[in-house]
Amino acid sequence: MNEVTLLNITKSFSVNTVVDNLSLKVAEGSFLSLLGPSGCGKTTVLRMVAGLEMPTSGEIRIGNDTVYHSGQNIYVPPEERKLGMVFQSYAIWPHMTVLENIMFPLRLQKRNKADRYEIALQTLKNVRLDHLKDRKPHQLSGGQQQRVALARALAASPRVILLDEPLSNLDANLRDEMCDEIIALRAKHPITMIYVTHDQREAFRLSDQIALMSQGKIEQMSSPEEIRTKPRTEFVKQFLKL
Amino acid sequence: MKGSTSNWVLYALCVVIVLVLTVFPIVTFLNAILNHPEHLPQLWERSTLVALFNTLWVALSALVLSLAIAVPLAFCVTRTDIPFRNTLKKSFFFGYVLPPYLFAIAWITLAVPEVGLLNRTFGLSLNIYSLAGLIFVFTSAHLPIVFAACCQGMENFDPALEEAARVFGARPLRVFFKITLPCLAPTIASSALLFFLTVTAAFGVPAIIGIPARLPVLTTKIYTLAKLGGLDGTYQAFIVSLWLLLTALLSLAMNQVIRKKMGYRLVGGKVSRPSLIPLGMIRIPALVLTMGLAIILVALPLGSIVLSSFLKIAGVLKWSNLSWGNYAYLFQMAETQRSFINSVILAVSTGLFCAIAGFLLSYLRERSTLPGTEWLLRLASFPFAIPGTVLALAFIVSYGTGWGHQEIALLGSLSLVGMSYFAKDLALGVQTALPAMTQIDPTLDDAARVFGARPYQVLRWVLLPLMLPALFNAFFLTALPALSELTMSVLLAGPGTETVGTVLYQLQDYANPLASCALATILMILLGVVFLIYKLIGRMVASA
Repeated sequence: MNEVTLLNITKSFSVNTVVDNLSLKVAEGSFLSLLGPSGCGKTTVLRMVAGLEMPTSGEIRIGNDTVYHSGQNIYVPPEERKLGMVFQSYAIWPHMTVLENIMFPLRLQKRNKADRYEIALQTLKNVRLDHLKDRKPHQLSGGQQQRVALARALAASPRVILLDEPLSNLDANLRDEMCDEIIALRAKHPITMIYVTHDQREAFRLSDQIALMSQGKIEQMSSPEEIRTKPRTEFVKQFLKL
Repeated sequence: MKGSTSNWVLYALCVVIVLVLTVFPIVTFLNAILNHPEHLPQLWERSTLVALFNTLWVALSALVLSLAIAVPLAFCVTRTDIPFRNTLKKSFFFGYVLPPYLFAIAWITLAVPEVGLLNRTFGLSLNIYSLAGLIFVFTSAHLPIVFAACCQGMENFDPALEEAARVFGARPLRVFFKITLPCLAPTIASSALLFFLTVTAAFGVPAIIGIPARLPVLTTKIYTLAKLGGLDGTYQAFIVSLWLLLTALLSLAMNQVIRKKMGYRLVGGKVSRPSLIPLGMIRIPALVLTMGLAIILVALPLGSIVLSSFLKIAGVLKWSNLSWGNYAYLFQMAETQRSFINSVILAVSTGLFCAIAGFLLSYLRERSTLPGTEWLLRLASFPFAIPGTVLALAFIVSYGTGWGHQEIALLGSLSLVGMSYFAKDLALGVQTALPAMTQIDPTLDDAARVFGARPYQVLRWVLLPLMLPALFNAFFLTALPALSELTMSVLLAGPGTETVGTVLYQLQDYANPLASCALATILMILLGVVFLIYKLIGRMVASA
């Protein structure tokens, strides 16, 4: 059971409330997009799920584990949450080769050497980058770097993959191509994914569920069809330009 | 959430480092002064004021002379079409690698009354043991401080600022005086203060030239009191050193003011190189003048050391006067070998300490949310501003005497000398590591954390490999000067813990001045080789 549950999550920086009593649930194997304008708190939500940011209050569960609970003083650090993440800036470690980048999480999981190599190479084949396995990151194009970042997240066989605006640094053509790539990969690996974006086209193409956020709250969370056909608030209508 | 156990351990370690190297010595030092108010009148005693006056007068004169040489020189080699620009420029940078006291030793071989090489060969009557001599040697030894700043400023200057003035009708020289120089004023002023600070805190040059010339400055006055004055003398030395400390702190405060008041930044200079101003008719005269300077300030003194190291009698240039005798003398001296071993141990450990501690401090500053890391960095960097002589005294009272327990008294031990080097140079380690750390994208750490790395694993597998080039620079930047350190070693080292610097000083001072030239030659070769290795590895790292 790798569903993700957020209960009454609030995050404030001094006087400023970024995420306001937010609750949501991502079903096992489904794809949720957090969609909204910049500054709406969507990235903060993602970083709290990752454990990179500590909520002010509330509860977060991943699968059967409570990874954060303000009342019970539970906080599981990111490295123990068994997640994968794809960053906007790719965050490919520049001193490692493509292959080493993918093997490093496996090494942290204490897999043996042969396994590490096997899994990493297989995943690279999946994203069609095996011919570049010995390159250093700076020798790759932006699209290739992003595929390495995806492969790294997939290879770690995490419970959930978190994607933080992964396509926003790519040009429009490449973005479409990468959307197809993600859809194809999802068909092969039905992993729970949470996807942060401000681009509604991406959200509509990829998601099972979309949570449209504004000012730290969820305005509407439903399937792409429903959100388009039955926008619940004025903000949803305006943001989606319906 | 970033405050993990391993971060707390590192934090505790850095707090201990700062307490041992900065806080405790300074507090103990000030406490020692306050507990002996009977010595306070030393502050106004005539001999102290004479030393203070000499210090300021010599430092200011050397500064004015250096600026008068460095500004036009830097302009010549960076902004004009003078031939051999880069070679000329590099030739003035020797002083960066070589310890300043080598220039004092050199000018003694050249211009001691009667027997100096210049005096004897050309029948001149130069006397290096004079106020002018002291000022001149300081200038030649520390010129690179201001010269480097001028060169850097003029090279990175945005040519558009000058071109704009040209377009509006100003001639090249007018542009230089009205646009370029005013824009570079903060850079130059900052380097001038550093020059002033360095010269007032210098020990080697005023000890080798000033003491025989009866020109005591603060550092040599302190040294004489501390070494020869017994217990009373030590306390008097503390009092005198307050002037030195005050001078240093005032210079630093002025530097802060300059940064704030004149703190405009010159950006965009790297886009295109500034245009070179054609010298036309004066191209060759300028070349001759510049080369003449390079010869007088660099080639002549360094050459003279090497030449003198082969002489049997000082100043006599005859084939029959050449021999390997001075080297033979060195090799039969037990101190020689010991001093090289000591200096290498000290240099390597200083380099390692400063690189590693600089790395950890900048890691805590940039990557942890632990309290007070800003202060930790400031305190760690503070001893760099304290003149070496004062710092050495502070280490003597804090750790040298063992507080009545002879078995833990560290005076004369290699560990005390090492600690003083660590304290003095840690700032360089921090200054090198911190910018490199700030340039590493924090999401690289985040990624590692999410994929299962604990904070210490992030440090080991992500940050350390990315920081290696900077740490490598920090190592050499601190190890290289440690190889030839004199100011602190001369107060802290003892029999058996001689460093190359102290042996050189002893030889020059009384034992055998010509043998000191031989040792200086060996030291120059050693420093040159280490520097070349550093450059070579640096180039390999850059191309990899």
